[in-house]
Amino acid sequence: MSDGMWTFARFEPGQSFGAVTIPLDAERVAGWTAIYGAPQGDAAPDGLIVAGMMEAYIRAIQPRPRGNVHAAQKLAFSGARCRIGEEVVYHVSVLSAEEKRGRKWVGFGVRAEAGGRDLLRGEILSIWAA
Amino acid sequence: MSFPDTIPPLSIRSGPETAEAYAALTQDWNPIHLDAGFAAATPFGKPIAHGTMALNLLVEAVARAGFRIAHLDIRFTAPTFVGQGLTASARRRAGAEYTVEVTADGETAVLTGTATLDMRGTGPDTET
Repeated sequence: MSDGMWTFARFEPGQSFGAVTIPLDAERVAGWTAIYGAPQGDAAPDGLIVAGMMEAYIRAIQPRPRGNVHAAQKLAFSGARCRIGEEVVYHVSVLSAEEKRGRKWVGFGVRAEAGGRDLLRGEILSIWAA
Repeated sequence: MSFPDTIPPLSIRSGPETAEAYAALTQDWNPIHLDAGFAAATPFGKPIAHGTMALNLLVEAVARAGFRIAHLDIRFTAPTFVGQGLTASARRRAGAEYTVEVTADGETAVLTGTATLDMRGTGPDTET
């Protein structure tokens, strides 16, 4: 395991991983379209904001062990609009970290905003591999 | 405000090209999703789809019905193997509360939980 690896022992509730900015650019829209179909109009699909949440979560916490399991998810959309082409800023933090029955459970919070508008709050519950 | 008893089901197929596209979309290149050789050595035995591919299918099904998710609480209950078909659906419990589910090949529930919906266009900066 390389130095700097984000292992379970390093997580503490309240810990912040800072902000990750993700543009809702043509490449990401093309990826979305290939799977779910073309967006209608210039509004970003809600799921594109969720996809960005996962990208931010992965980019913010590196390097990470292989084999983590995404066990559960909470989402709350504010209803604020976001347009294709805007940049979304994701703030990633640790909500909880506890070992139960030999499994290492870590809860991560992700808050998404664009242009100062809150878009989404997410909670990712993971079983951390190491 | 009126909420339907069900949200129309929405389906996709999670083939290798879909897994590749979702990896590019989320920058999640975990080989468990993409590399059959790697996946063969895991307890799954073969590549599995990204969990949020199913989640986003549900989010999109809700959006196409003219709603948005105000609150959602789900668990990933089983893996989706690459190549399986995914179908998202929602059934109203009371008011704006729904039981939500995504199934693989119409049999295995891979995502289950609850959601509270709201009409689209009711956000804090909605254009009028």
